[in-house]
Amino acid sequence: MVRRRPFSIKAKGTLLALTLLLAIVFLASVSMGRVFIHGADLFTLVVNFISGNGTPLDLLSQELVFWWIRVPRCVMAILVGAGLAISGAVYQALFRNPLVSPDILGVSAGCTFGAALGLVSPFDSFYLVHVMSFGFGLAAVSMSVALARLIGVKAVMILVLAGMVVLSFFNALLMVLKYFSDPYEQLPSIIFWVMGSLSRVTWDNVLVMAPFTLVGIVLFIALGFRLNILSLGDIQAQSLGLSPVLFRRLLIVASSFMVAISVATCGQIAWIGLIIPHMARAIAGPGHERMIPITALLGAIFLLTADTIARTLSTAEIPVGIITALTGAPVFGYLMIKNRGSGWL
Amino acid sequence: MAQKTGVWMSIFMLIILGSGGASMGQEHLKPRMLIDQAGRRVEIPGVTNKIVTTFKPATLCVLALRLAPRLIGVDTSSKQDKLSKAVFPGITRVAGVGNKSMGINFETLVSLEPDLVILYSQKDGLQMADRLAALGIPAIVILPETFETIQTSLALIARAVGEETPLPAVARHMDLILDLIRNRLKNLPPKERKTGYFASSRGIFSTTTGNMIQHEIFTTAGIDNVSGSLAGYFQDISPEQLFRWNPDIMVLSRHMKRTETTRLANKALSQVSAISTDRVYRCPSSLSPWDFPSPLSVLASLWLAKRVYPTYFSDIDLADTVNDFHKALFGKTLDQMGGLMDEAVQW
Repeated sequence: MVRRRPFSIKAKGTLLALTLLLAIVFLASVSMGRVFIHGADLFTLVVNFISGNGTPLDLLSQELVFWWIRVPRCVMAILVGAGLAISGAVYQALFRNPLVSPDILGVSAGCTFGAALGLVSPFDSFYLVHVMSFGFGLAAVSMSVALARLIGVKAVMILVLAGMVVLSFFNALLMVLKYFSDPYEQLPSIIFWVMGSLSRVTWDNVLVMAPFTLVGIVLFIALGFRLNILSLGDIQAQSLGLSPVLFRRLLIVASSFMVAISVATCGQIAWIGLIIPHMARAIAGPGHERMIPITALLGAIFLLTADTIARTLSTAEIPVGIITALTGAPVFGYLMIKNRGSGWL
Repeated sequence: MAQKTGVWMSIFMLIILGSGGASMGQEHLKPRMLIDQAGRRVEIPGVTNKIVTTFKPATLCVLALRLAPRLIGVDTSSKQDKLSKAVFPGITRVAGVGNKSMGINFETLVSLEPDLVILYSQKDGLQMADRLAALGIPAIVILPETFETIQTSLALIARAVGEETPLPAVARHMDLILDLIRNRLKNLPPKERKTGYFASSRGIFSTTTGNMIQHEIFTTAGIDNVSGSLAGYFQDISPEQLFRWNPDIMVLSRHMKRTETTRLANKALSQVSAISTDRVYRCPSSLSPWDFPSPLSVLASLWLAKRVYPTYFSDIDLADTVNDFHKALFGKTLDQMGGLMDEAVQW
C-alpha cells in the first residue's frame, strides 16, 4: 500500500525558511529600482495603503512607481516563476523523465508561436494572443507525446527527442512567421515577445494570471500524492485504482495552461521549468506533496531575483532570459555531473 | 558647422577619387574607384544601369536620386512600401531579394547580374559585399544613420552610378530644412529646451540610443533625448526608467501597434509629464515614416520642432513645406501620393 507521507518537522522547517526567504527577496526587490524611493517614504506608502489614508501629494510619483509599476511586476515574477517551475515538476513526474520541461517538450515554443501568430493577426487583441498561445502549447505537448508513443522504444530518451522534434518544428514555424512578417511593423513585436520580459506587467495582467497560477498550485499540491503514483508507471497506477489516462490528461492540460498564460503575458523565459524541480527534489526528496510547494517557492525566488537584477543593473533592461540561462545552464550541468550514475539520467 | 563641412568634404573626396565626369553619358563612363561607408575600396567598372538594393533606407535613397528605373532588385519590404509604390509603381514587379532582418537570397542577387548592389553594414552586409566583389559584382556598403551619413550615402550612390547632378538637389533640400530649424532655434534659451522620449515599434519601453537617427531628429529639433546616453540599437528599458526620465514629450514610432499604444493608459504612467500633458505624438507620415533613416527624416525634425516650439515656427506652413520637399525629391507632393501627416495617438 502506498501511503501519503506527512510533512516532517524538517520539511515544514524548509518550507518556512523558503517562505521567509521569498518574503525577504520580495521586500528587497520592491525596495530597488531605477527610481530611488527613500526607506521612510516606502514605509509611509505601505502604512497609508494599509490604513486607507490618502497619499501625500509629494509622494504621488513614488506611490505610482511603487504600487503600480514595481509591486505588480514583483508579484508577477513570483507567479510566473512558481508557475513555470511547477509545470516543469509536473511534466517530469508525468513522463517519468527528469530531462523534460515545458521548454524541452516544445510547449514553450508552441506557446510562443501561438502568441506570435496572435500578434501578427489583424485583430490586434491580447485575448487572442492568450488563446492562441494556449492552443499551440497544448498542441505541442500532444505532438511530443504522440510522437514518442509512435516510436515506442526507450521511452525516457525518446520523449526528449520527440520534444526536440516538436520544438524544432514550432521554432521553424516561428521563423516562417518572422520571414513573412513586415520587418518594420510586425517583426519587432514578435522579437520583443520571444525575448521574454516582465517590463510590461500591469495589475490587470496580475489579476488574470494570479487565479490560474494559484488554482494550479493548489491543484498540483492536492494531486501530489497521485503524481507520486503516476510516476510509478501506468500499470502500478491502475493497480492502485488510479486512472492514469484521465489524470495525465488533466495534469497536462493544467500545466500547459500555466505555461501558456506565462508565455502569453511575459514571453518565453527558459530554464526555470527544468532546473528548479531538480533543486527542489534535492531539498525535499521525490515525494510531490512536499516537493511541489518547495518547487513553487524556489521558482518564485529564482525569477524574482533574476528580474530584479534585469531591471536594476543598468539604464537599459537586461533581457531576463539571459540571466535565467546564464545561471540555469551551469546549475543544470552541475546537477548532471553530481547525479551521474545515480539513476537520475 | 563642423558636421556640414564633413559632409561636403566626404562628397569632395568621392569626386576626387572618382574619374568619371558628371556630364558624361552612361555609355562613356570610365572605371571609377570609390570608398564606401565601411571604408572599402570599390571599383565600378563602367555603366550602372542595373541596381539592387537590400534594405529600405537604400531603396529610399535610390528613389530620392530619381534612379528608380534602374532598380532590378529591391529588399522585399520595399515592394510593399506605400511611398515606394507611389513614387515608382513598377517596384511591385521588381525582383525581391529578401531583407536585412531575415536574410538576403544571395543566388537571387547574383542571378540578377546587377551592375551595383547597395548593402547594409550590419549583420552579413560586409561579408556579402566581399563575396559579391569576388564574383566581379560591384557592391557598396552604406550607413545612413545620421543626417550627415544619409547625405554621404546619397553622394556615394550618385557617384557609383555616375550621376552627380541629382545629388546637390537632394542634399540642398535636406540642408534647407536643417538650416531652417537651426536658424529658428539658435536663440532658444536653455531653460526652454524640452526633453523627449522615442518609443520604437517594438513597444513603449523600447527606445532609441545616442547612435540612431531618432536621436538626431530630437537634437536637431532642440529636444534633449532622454535616452541619448544609451548605445547601440534599440534598447529596452523598465517603466521605472521612463518614469525617472519623465520626458516632456513622447514620440511613438509610426509602426507601433495599437496593443502597445494602449499601455499609455496605464495609471502607473499617468504622472509622466508627456502623458499627463497629452504631448504624445505618432511620427508622421502615413506613406513612409519619417522616424527612419532616409532623406525624409529631416522632416521629422521640422515637424517636431514646430510641434514643441510653435512660436519659433508660427509662419511656417508645415503641409506646404512637406509637399514641396516630396515634390523636390520624388516629383510628386505628399498629397498627390495620397499621404497624410496624422500624428494623433489613441490610448
